Amino acid sequence: MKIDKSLLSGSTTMLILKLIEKKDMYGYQMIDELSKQSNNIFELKAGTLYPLLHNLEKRQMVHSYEVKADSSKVRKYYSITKKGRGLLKEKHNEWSKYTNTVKKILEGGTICEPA
Amino acid sequence: MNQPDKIKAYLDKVCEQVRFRKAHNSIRNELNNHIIDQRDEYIQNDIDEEKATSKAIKQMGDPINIGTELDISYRPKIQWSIIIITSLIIIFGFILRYIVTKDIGYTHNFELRNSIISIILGIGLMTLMLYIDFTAIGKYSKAIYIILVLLTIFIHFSKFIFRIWMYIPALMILFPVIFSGIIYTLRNKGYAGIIISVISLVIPIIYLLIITLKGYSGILIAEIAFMSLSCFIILTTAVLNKWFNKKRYIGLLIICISILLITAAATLLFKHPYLTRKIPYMFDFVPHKSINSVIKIIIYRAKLIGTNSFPSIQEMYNHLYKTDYMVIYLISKYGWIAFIIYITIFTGFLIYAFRLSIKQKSVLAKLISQSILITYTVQIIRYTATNLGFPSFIKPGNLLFISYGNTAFVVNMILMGLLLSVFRTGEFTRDDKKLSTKNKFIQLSDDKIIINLRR
Repeated sequence: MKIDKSLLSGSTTMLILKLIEKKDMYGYQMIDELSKQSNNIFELKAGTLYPLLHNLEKRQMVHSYEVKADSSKVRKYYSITKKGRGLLKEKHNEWSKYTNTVKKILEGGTICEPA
Repeated sequence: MNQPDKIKAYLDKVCEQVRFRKAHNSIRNELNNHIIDQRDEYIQNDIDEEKATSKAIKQMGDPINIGTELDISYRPKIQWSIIIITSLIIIFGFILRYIVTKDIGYTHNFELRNSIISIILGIGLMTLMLYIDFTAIGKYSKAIYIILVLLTIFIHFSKFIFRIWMYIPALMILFPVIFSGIIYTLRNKGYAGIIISVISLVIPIIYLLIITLKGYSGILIAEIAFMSLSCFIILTTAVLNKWFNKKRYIGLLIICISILLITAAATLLFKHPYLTRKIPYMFDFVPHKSINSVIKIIIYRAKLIGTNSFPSIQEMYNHLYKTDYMVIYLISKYGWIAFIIYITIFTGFLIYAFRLSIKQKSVLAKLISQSILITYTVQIIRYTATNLGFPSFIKPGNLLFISYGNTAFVVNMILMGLLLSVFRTGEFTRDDKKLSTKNKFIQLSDDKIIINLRR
């Protein structure tokens, strides 16, 4: 089922940071991994990903380094920084609050505050 | 159009939108890898190469869009706050020099004209340095070092050119920055790196001492000592930051031993009877005996706010050689409040700039910016301390942007431009990769003989 793209855009930063939380990755790998973990529902475009990554690096949320893949290829890997982890946590809380509120309005009942 | 050309055309379009040229290589490489990965996946799904490439490129999206978005992350920023503070200091210095020379009775329009010329020249050079790629200091440090030493030698032997030897103290202000470039080249070389750095400092020290001993009043032992002090502080910072990749305390030990050896050698040298006679003139002991008693009186009698009319201007006239004692003059004329303001402005400026320097990501950016700030700090501390009377046997030297000394002013402006350049593009620079021992001039690899002409 195709999801409205605008739903994804607000949470892309959070998802990318989550992806590299446990493991450093390079751009194409992130798109691939996101696709796998979402059962192909989230198809992130390169045009969205790379500006986002470079911007996160400027804000010191991620750190990049280069690794030689084979004789000619040099890949740029991204790792999350301490600041980035803080941002991830913040976005996650924000997201939980948002989704709980939406759920409440749609289905009625009380809002569950995050623990 | 063949496949690599299509990809290149796409990447060219992206990079056109990114104004910061130095980022282009990295962006090209990253996006190229992505396109190739995507293409290879399509090929694995039985799409032919040509179609796969086109599809992969299309998948990337509009190149102008991506380029414009990337451009946002690569906007170099100029530290306007530093420029503003510097401008204030320069204006303040200009006014102060005017007041001092008016009070003393100098009516040299000559000085005024030279001041204006040097301010304009300084601003021009500062702007030029601002847009220069500061990483050149790291890349060409050895060449710059050699040029500087040769230039000093040339000046020394060109005595026939009017007052050209006066440029040597100004060049000495530049040396700590060049020295930091040498340290950068020698980093990762461990203890050997530290020792070679010390040697690269000792060579100019020896040479400068020789030309001083030959009777130049253009260079004083004090200038050499303070230049060396700045350099040793920079070296110590490098060791403490583990940029030489070795244990700190052994590195510090090497530095301490070097300082002791140099000081011991210098002391023994000065004990030589021929030289002992010359010492007073090298340190300018003689003229400054009386300025210290004047300073003591001023400090004792100065008010918090307001003029203290003793000693009189005429008494100070003999000692206020141009603008060597402006701070104590300020205290005398306006009270301690002027001193407090002076200290606050300079300290604030240095702290702010040091914080920006520490935030830099690359070792080169840190080294260069810290070396410039250390040079400034040593200048300021020396001037302030000697103005307050201690140590009594050292000339105050140059006060950053304030005291008269056009060449020094211009050189300090050059350093300021370099500093702003580091703050402008420092976050986008990466240090050179560690030189592996495999990167020798000649190496054998894959049945081939490779001769490395780079580096």
